[in-house]
Order: sequence, then structure tokens, then C-alpha cells
Amino acid sequence: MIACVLIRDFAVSVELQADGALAGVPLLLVEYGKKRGKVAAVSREASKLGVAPGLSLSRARALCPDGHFLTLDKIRQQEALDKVLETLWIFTNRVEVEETAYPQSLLCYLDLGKLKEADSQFLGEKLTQAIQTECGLKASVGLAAGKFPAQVAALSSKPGKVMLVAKGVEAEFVAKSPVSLLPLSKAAAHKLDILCIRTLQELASLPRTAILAQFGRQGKLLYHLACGQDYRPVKPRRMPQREIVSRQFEPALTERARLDVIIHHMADELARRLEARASALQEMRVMVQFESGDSGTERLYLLQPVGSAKIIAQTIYQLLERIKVKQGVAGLEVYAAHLVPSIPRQLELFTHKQGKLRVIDLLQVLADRHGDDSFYEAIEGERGSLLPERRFRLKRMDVS
Amino acid sequence: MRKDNRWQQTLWDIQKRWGEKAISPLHKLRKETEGIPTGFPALDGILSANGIARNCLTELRGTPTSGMTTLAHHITARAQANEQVAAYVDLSGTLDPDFAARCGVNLDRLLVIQPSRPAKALEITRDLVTVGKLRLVVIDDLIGKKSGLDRIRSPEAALRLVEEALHKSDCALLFLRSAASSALLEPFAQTRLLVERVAWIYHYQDVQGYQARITVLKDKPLAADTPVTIDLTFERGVEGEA
Repeated sequence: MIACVLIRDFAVSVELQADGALAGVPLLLVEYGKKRGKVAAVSREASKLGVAPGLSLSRARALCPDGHFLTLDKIRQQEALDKVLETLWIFTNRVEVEETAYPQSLLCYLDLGKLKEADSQFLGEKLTQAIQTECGLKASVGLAAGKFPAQVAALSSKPGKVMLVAKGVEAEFVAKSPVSLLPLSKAAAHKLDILCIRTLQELASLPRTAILAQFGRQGKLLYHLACGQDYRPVKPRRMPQREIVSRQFEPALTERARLDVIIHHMADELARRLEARASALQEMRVMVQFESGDSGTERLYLLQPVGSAKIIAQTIYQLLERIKVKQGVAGLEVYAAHLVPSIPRQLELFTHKQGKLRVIDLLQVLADRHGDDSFYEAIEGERGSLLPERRFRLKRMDVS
Repeated sequence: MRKDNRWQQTLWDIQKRWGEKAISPLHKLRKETEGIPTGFPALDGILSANGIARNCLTELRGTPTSGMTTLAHHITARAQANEQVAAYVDLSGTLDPDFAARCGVNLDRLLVIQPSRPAKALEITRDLVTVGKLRLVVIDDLIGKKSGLDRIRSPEAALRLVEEALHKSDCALLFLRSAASSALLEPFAQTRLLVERVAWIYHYQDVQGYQARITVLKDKPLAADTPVTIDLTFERGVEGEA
């Protein structure tokens, strides 16, 4: 059983969540490429005026002069997509995202295995509820034996509703759908237009050999899809490697000492989890929920993968400094992303520090006693310079 | 009672009365520490520690351009093996980092000290030896004919303190001194080497380096007096051995 989850006007809905004042306005989300911008997604109001994704900016302005043009916030869109996928991954890890429709709409296929029809219906309802609760978006769900009939079912159902296509009636179900739903190339679409084939029923009624003769290898797939048969498997999107540690505080934390202890506990837990999966994190995001209801988020991409609790705690502090915690903390979430396999290292019998660090440690001891005006280090200058004094120079070491 | 048992009993009695360190067999006192190799097996072979002895002072004596500094850099490079750290007390202010790097010195693991006065150099050296857990400290004291050490009011006292610190550590101290400077260091140095330039090395008409003869003037356990000749080239410091 395949479930197709469709979120119409996905990009516009995400922008409306961020700014409610844009509701009812013909909204055009623009994506700027290397040379010129193009329309990436449009609201219903704009689409009624004839604007469609992929149009050039000048054309879109001509069609919709009063439209509100907004640059597509890719980070916000990606975060929203991640959130939806996280919700879907609760149900199954076999989730495929249809890239052609994104970001105008979000179309995902879920492989539900050999789930019975009654159970599938129940699961579909749960899916719509979960997306509504977790992401604040309304999704239509279509359930069928193949991807294409499930997609047609999702397109036919209203937002927040589930439509199940029973086994054996797929051909009948898709019969009246337009051929534009098929994955057609420009040439194939043009050919179908010339042949006056408008619905899938018309295409399915043609002899298979005739379709193969007209469309070649693509014709075989088109014929099957028109007959309501889709044997294409779900190509699951790879689940991102990440770890999340979060804490909620009731009442809100106001003492720094307690927060310190909790940060270290969280760092320890995260380090333990990373160690268990032999990974190190390269990206960290810290989200703080304040008692006033506000929240602050900061993200840091580390140059070197980190796996030790000590450095994780240091990074959390670094991010908290950026957020500037000035009121009680009601919740704290540490999100470790971009996990990479930790490189095995030779264990040392004794804790040898790197040479440079040892020199600095030594210097700190000596500078307390003798002052720091006598200590120098050799710095590399212009490599390959003919003058030796330019290749290296002595620089006074900074004790601080 | 057998002779061995009597000897053992006497040893225990003395240790019981005067403490464990009052008397010890000689083999227990001997430290099994290898010296820092110089990079010249011939030279290492004639030195009692198979190189520059640790926890004591070694003096390199010679005129400028005799090859002393090159040899010191080469020893420093050997001392820095296994992530060890070395220090260079540059009293003369003539350290050439480029040449040191070409001799194999890892500059990241080299602490350069240019003290304002010679007395301070010895104080810092003492602290380096005591605190630093260094493998080697080189004191470049080649300031013309009269070295920096001669300008200290009571150098013997300062050197004695350094010597005491050295005995308790695992560090080697290498002193580069001018051939013309006073013999002040002689009683404190366990090993004294004299470096002399004996011949230039030519490649057609270009001078590519020179041969240096190293004579062991003093080595406590052994009284070696065999000169060793080494080849030093300008491009890569120490090129080979003779």
C-alpha cells in the first residue's frame, strides 16, 4: 500500500505561517538564479491571475502587477520540509519526496508495506492529524496500491481528508483524470495534444503497441499509468543523521548554576549517544524557550567534528552567549546535525598534549615569573622567498 | 653466614639506621637514560651517553662559523622527536628560524627566549628545566669574544642552581660558547666539545659547505680524545658524516 501525502501551496503556507498579514494577498515567491529570477511558488490568488511557477519575473509582473513579490526563504522552507518529513518518519522510514512539485506543493509517497485497506484508512487519518498538529499544515492523503493512483487520489481529496482507492478499481478511478498528471516530457505532452488525447481513459483505450510506437520506452510507463497500474517503487529519502537532547523546566530556570549543571548533563548525554553510534557532530543548534514564551535559536557549523562532552558543552555555552539569556529558561533543546563517522584514534597511555599547546602551557608558567617580553615563536612568512629573513620571523608570544 | 648474606645484612643495617638513600649498590644508581643523538653515529659513538647526555650540561665551544650552531640545531631536531618540546635561549639574538627549519627543527615545538640580560637567561633556564618537562634547552651565548655569562655578577651560584635543577630533571642543557670566552663553565659541564672548521667543501667553484672537526675535550666517564670530522652544507644544514 502506498500513501501519497499532498500539501497544496506548501511554500506559500510556510510564508503565511511566518507572516499572517500576507493572507489573501496575491503572493509570488521568487527565486533568484545566477542570471535572472523566476517564480518559484504562487498563492491561489496569484494563480487565478495566470501566474504559475517557472515564469520569468517580467512575465509575472505583467500578469499580476499588484502581486506581492517575496524572495523565497530557502532556509525557512527547508526547515518546514524537515519538520514534515520528521512527522512522516514517525509512521515509516520509507518516504519519497517528489521534487518536481516542490516548493509549490509538497508531494510525498509513503510505502506502507502490506497494510490492509481498513488499517490504511485509519493510518491516513492519523497522518493528516499529525501534520496538522506538528506542522500546522493541511494535507490530503491518497491511498492506493501504486504511486500514481495514490497521487490522483490525493489530488482528488480535499485538504485534511483521506481517499482510499480499493484494489482492482484503480483504472476506473484514474480514467477521468487529465493526461497532464502523467510524468510527460514536453514533446510527449505536445504529441498527446496533437492527438487530442485529453484523459487517461482515452490513452488507456489505445492499443499498447500504438502507444509504444508513438512514445517509445516512455510509452510503456504511460500506458501502465493510464491503466491505473504503477509498479514504480518508493525511493526512500535518506533519513538525516541527527541527535536531539531537550529539557523542559517547570518552573522556569532562573539560577545560572542549575543551568550549568543541566547543560553538562545534556552534553554528557549527547556525547554518550554519539559514541554509541560512533559518530561526531559537525553542526549544532541550540534552542532556548524563555518563560515569557519567546524563543531564541542559534546554529553553529563546526570546522572539526566534535564528539567529546567537554567540547559539546563549550559549544552550547558559545551559542547561549549569542542568544543572550536574560530571563528564566523554560526549555532547552540541543540539536546535533550533520553527524559524521568519528575517526578512530590511537589510544594513548599518557595524555600527551600537542607540541604547540605544551609550549603555550609552559609559557604561561614562565610569564608569571619573568614577564612575557622574553618569549618568542617563529612564524612562517613568505614561503619560498629568496630572502631568508622573509621566510620566517620571530613574533613575541601572547600569553593571554 | 655467607659473604653475600653478610654484605646484604650490612646494607640493610645501614639503610635502617641512616635511611634508604644512605647507601645503594652502584648498579642501582646508574641511570639507564639514553642521550640525545647528535645525528652523527661517529660522534655518538665516542660520547659516553651515545649522544648529548641528559640531566647534565654539555658545552659546545668554537668560533663563529665553525658549525656549532648547525650542530646544535641538528641536535634540537633530534630532541624534538616524539612530540617533545625544546627551548632556545638566544642571548646573542642571532637565531635564524629559516636555517633552523632547514636543519629539521620543528618551529611549532620550539620556544625561543631572548632575555633582556644574561642573568635572566639563567633564571629562565632554571625554571625551564624545573617546570617545563623539556627534552633540550640550548643556550646560545656567542656574543663576540666576551660571552653573556661573563657579565653576570656571580655566575657560579646561578650555574649551580641550574645544575641542581638539571640533575632532578630529564632535560639536556647545551651551551654554545665562544672559543675565546672564559673557562667559567668547565667545572659544570659533563661533556665539552670543541668544534673547528677544517676545510671548505667545493662544488666546482662554488662553496657548498665545510668540514668541521669535533674534538671531545671532556667527557666524565670516558676521556675520549678522538676528533670526528663532519660535513656541513649551507642548503640543508648537516649533510652527512665523515
